[in-house]
Amino acid sequence: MAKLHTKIKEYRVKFNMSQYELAELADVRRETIVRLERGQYNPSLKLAMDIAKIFGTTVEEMFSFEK
Amino acid sequence: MKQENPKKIKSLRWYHAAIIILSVLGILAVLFMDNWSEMIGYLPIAVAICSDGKFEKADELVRQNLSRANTITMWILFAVLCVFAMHARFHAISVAHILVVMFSAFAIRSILFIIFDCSFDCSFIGKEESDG
Repeated sequence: MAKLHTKIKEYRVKFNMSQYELAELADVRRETIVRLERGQYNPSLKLAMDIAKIFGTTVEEMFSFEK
Repeated sequence: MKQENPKKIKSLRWYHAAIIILSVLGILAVLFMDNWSEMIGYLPIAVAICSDGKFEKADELVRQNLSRANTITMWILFAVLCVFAMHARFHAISVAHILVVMFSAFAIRSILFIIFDCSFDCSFIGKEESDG
Protein backbone atom coordinates (compact mmCIF):
# COMPACT_ATOMS: atom_id res chain seq x y z
CA MET A 1 0.00 0.00 0.00
CA ALA A 2 1.32 3.43 -0.93
CA LYS A 3 2.41 5.54 2.01
CA LEU A 4 1.40 9.16 2.27
CA HIS A 5 4.28 11.61 2.22
CA THR A 6 3.62 15.23 3.12
CA LYS A 7 5.69 18.39 3.07
CA ILE A 8 3.63 19.96 5.84
CA LYS A 9 6.51 20.02 8.28
CA GLU A 10 8.87 21.56 5.75
CA TYR A 11 6.40 24.31 4.94
CA ARG A 12 5.52 24.81 8.58
CA VAL A 13 9.16 25.34 9.47
CA LYS A 14 9.57 27.62 6.45
CA PHE A 15 6.61 29.71 7.60
CA ASN A 16 7.82 29.57 11.22
CA MET A 17 4.48 28.14 12.28
CA SER A 18 3.75 25.78 15.16
CA GLN A 19 1.60 22.69 14.84
CA TYR A 20 -0.99 24.34 17.03
CA GLU A 21 -1.17 27.43 14.84
CA LEU A 22 -1.54 25.35 11.70
CA ALA A 23 -4.23 23.28 13.41
CA GLU A 24 -6.09 26.47 14.34
CA LEU A 25 -5.90 27.78 10.78
CA ALA A 26 -7.03 24.47 9.29
CA ASP A 27 -9.75 24.12 11.94
CA VAL A 28 -8.57 20.73 13.13
CA ARG A 29 -6.92 19.44 16.28
CA ARG A 30 -3.15 19.55 16.59
CA GLU A 31 -3.20 15.79 16.84
CA THR A 32 -4.47 15.62 13.26
CA ILE A 33 -1.53 17.75 12.09
CA VAL A 34 0.85 15.50 14.05
CA ARG A 35 -0.48 12.41 12.33
CA LEU A 36 -0.50 14.06 8.93
CA GLU A 37 3.13 15.05 9.31
CA ARG A 38 4.00 11.49 10.23
CA GLY A 39 2.06 10.10 7.28
CA GLN A 40 -0.22 8.13 9.59
CA TYR A 41 -3.44 9.63 8.35
CA ASN A 42 -4.86 10.27 4.89
CA PRO A 43 -6.65 13.62 4.93
CA SER A 44 -9.86 14.41 3.12
CA LEU A 45 -9.59 16.42 -0.07
CA LYS A 46 -11.01 19.45 1.75
CA LEU A 47 -8.41 19.32 4.50
CA ALA A 48 -5.62 18.74 1.98
CA MET A 49 -6.78 21.76 -0.03
CA ASP A 50 -7.17 23.87 3.11
CA ILE A 51 -3.62 23.10 4.21
CA ALA A 52 -2.22 23.72 0.74
CA LYS A 53 -4.08 27.03 0.63
CA ILE A 54 -2.68 28.09 4.02
CA PHE A 55 0.84 27.68 2.63
CA GLY A 56 -0.05 29.13 -0.75
CA THR A 57 0.81 25.98 -2.64
CA THR A 58 -0.95 23.11 -4.38
CA VAL A 59 -2.17 19.78 -3.05
CA GLU A 60 0.17 17.95 -5.46
CA GLU A 61 3.14 19.84 -4.07
CA MET A 62 2.12 19.24 -0.47
CA PHE A 63 1.04 15.59 -0.64
CA SER A 64 2.39 12.61 -2.52
CA PHE A 65 2.31 8.84 -2.24
CA GLU A 66 5.47 6.81 -1.87
CA LYS A 67 5.26 3.49 -3.71
CA MET B 1 3.74 33.04 17.66
CA LYS B 2 1.20 31.58 20.01
CA GLN B 3 2.14 28.98 22.58
CA GLU B 4 1.04 25.45 21.96
CA ASN B 5 -2.19 24.64 23.74
CA PRO B 6 -3.51 21.06 23.61
CA LYS B 7 -6.79 22.18 25.22
CA LYS B 8 -9.03 20.76 22.49
CA ILE B 9 -7.47 17.29 22.67
CA LYS B 10 -7.69 17.21 26.42
CA SER B 11 -11.24 18.54 26.54
CA LEU B 12 -12.44 15.95 24.05
CA ARG B 13 -10.84 13.11 26.01
CA TRP B 14 -12.17 14.51 29.27
CA TYR B 15 -15.59 14.71 27.68
CA HIS B 16 -15.49 11.02 26.78
CA ALA B 17 -13.99 10.14 30.15
CA ALA B 18 -16.95 11.93 31.75
CA ILE B 19 -19.37 9.91 29.61
CA ILE B 20 -17.67 6.69 30.76
CA ILE B 21 -18.00 7.73 34.42
CA LEU B 22 -21.64 8.79 33.98
CA SER B 23 -22.45 5.53 32.21
CA VAL B 24 -20.80 3.44 34.91
CA LEU B 25 -22.69 5.43 37.56
CA GLY B 26 -25.88 4.80 35.60
CA ILE B 27 -25.19 1.06 35.52
CA LEU B 28 -24.44 1.03 39.26
CA ALA B 29 -27.60 3.00 39.95
CA VAL B 30 -29.72 0.54 37.98
CA LEU B 31 -28.07 -2.48 39.58
CA PHE B 32 -27.83 -1.36 43.18
CA MET B 33 -30.41 1.35 43.86
CA ASP B 34 -33.86 0.33 44.96
CA ASN B 35 -35.67 3.25 43.38
CA TRP B 36 -33.60 3.39 40.26
CA SER B 37 -36.75 3.69 38.17
CA GLU B 38 -37.09 7.29 39.38
CA MET B 39 -33.88 8.06 37.53
CA ILE B 40 -35.49 7.30 34.19
CA GLY B 41 -36.66 10.92 34.19
CA TYR B 42 -33.04 11.98 33.82
CA LEU B 43 -32.36 9.57 30.99
CA PRO B 44 -33.21 11.97 28.14
CA ILE B 45 -30.70 14.43 29.60
CA ALA B 46 -27.99 11.77 29.62
CA VAL B 47 -28.83 10.75 26.07
CA ALA B 48 -28.75 14.39 24.95
CA ILE B 49 -25.34 14.90 26.55
CA CYS B 50 -23.92 11.73 25.06
CA SER B 51 -25.20 12.33 21.57
CA ASP B 52 -24.32 16.01 21.45
CA GLY B 53 -22.57 16.03 18.12
CA LYS B 54 -21.37 19.57 17.65
CA PHE B 55 -18.55 19.16 20.14
CA GLU B 56 -17.34 16.04 18.41
CA LYS B 57 -17.71 16.87 14.74
CA ALA B 58 -15.13 19.62 14.51
CA ASP B 59 -12.27 17.44 13.36
CA GLU B 60 -12.30 14.82 10.61
CA LEU B 61 -9.93 12.53 12.52
CA VAL B 62 -12.36 12.66 15.44
CA ARG B 63 -15.22 11.84 13.11
CA GLN B 64 -13.28 8.90 11.71
CA ASN B 65 -12.45 7.57 15.18
CA LEU B 66 -16.04 8.06 16.33
CA SER B 67 -17.31 6.31 13.25
CA ARG B 68 -15.13 3.28 14.01
CA ALA B 69 -16.21 3.35 17.67
CA ASN B 70 -19.88 3.63 16.67
CA THR B 71 -19.63 0.70 14.26
CA ILE B 72 -18.01 -1.58 16.82
CA THR B 73 -20.48 -0.48 19.52
CA MET B 74 -23.39 -1.17 17.19
CA TRP B 75 -22.21 -4.73 16.54
CA ILE B 76 -21.60 -5.30 20.25
CA LEU B 77 -25.12 -4.02 20.98
CA PHE B 78 -26.55 -6.27 18.31
CA ALA B 79 -24.72 -9.30 19.71
CA VAL B 80 -25.77 -8.52 23.28
CA LEU B 81 -29.41 -8.07 22.32
CA CYS B 82 -29.30 -11.37 20.41
CA VAL B 83 -27.91 -13.12 23.48
CA PHE B 84 -30.58 -11.51 25.66
CA ALA B 85 -33.30 -12.51 23.23
CA MET B 86 -32.07 -16.11 23.14
CA HIS B 87 -31.76 -16.29 26.92
CA ALA B 88 -35.22 -14.84 27.39
CA ARG B 89 -36.49 -17.17 24.65
CA PHE B 90 -37.79 -14.16 22.77
CA HIS B 91 -39.89 -12.93 25.67
CA ALA B 92 -39.76 -9.38 26.90
CA ILE B 93 -36.45 -8.04 28.15
CA SER B 94 -36.61 -6.14 31.43
CA VAL B 95 -36.12 -2.40 31.54
CA ALA B 96 -33.14 -2.85 33.87
CA HIS B 97 -31.39 -5.00 31.26
CA ILE B 98 -32.06 -2.47 28.54
CA LEU B 99 -30.76 0.38 30.70
CA VAL B 100 -27.59 -1.51 31.60
CA VAL B 101 -26.97 -2.34 27.94
CA MET B 102 -27.61 1.27 26.92
CA PHE B 103 -25.26 2.74 29.50
CA SER B 104 -22.69 0.11 28.63
CA ALA B 105 -22.96 1.06 24.97
CA PHE B 106 -22.26 4.72 25.81
CA ALA B 107 -19.30 3.69 27.94
CA ILE B 108 -17.92 1.29 25.31
CA ARG B 109 -18.27 3.93 22.59
CA SER B 110 -16.30 6.46 24.63
CA ILE B 111 -13.67 3.91 25.67
CA LEU B 112 -13.17 2.88 22.05
CA PHE B 113 -12.95 6.50 20.98
CA ILE B 114 -10.25 7.22 23.57
CA ILE B 115 -8.36 4.07 22.52
CA PHE B 116 -8.47 5.06 18.84
CA ASP B 117 -7.58 8.64 19.68
CA CYS B 118 -4.58 7.53 21.71
CA SER B 119 -3.49 4.90 19.20
CA PHE B 120 -0.24 4.95 17.22
CA ASP B 121 1.86 6.79 19.78
CA CYS B 122 0.03 8.19 22.74
CA SER B 123 3.15 9.55 24.43
CA PHE B 124 3.80 11.74 21.43
CA ILE B 125 0.51 13.55 21.74
CA GLY B 126 0.60 16.59 23.93
CA LYS B 127 4.17 17.51 23.08
CA GLU B 128 5.07 19.78 20.24
CA GLU B 129 7.30 17.92 17.86
CA SER B 130 10.68 19.56 17.52
CA ASP B 131 11.20 21.19 14.18
CA GLY B 132 14.80 20.05 13.92
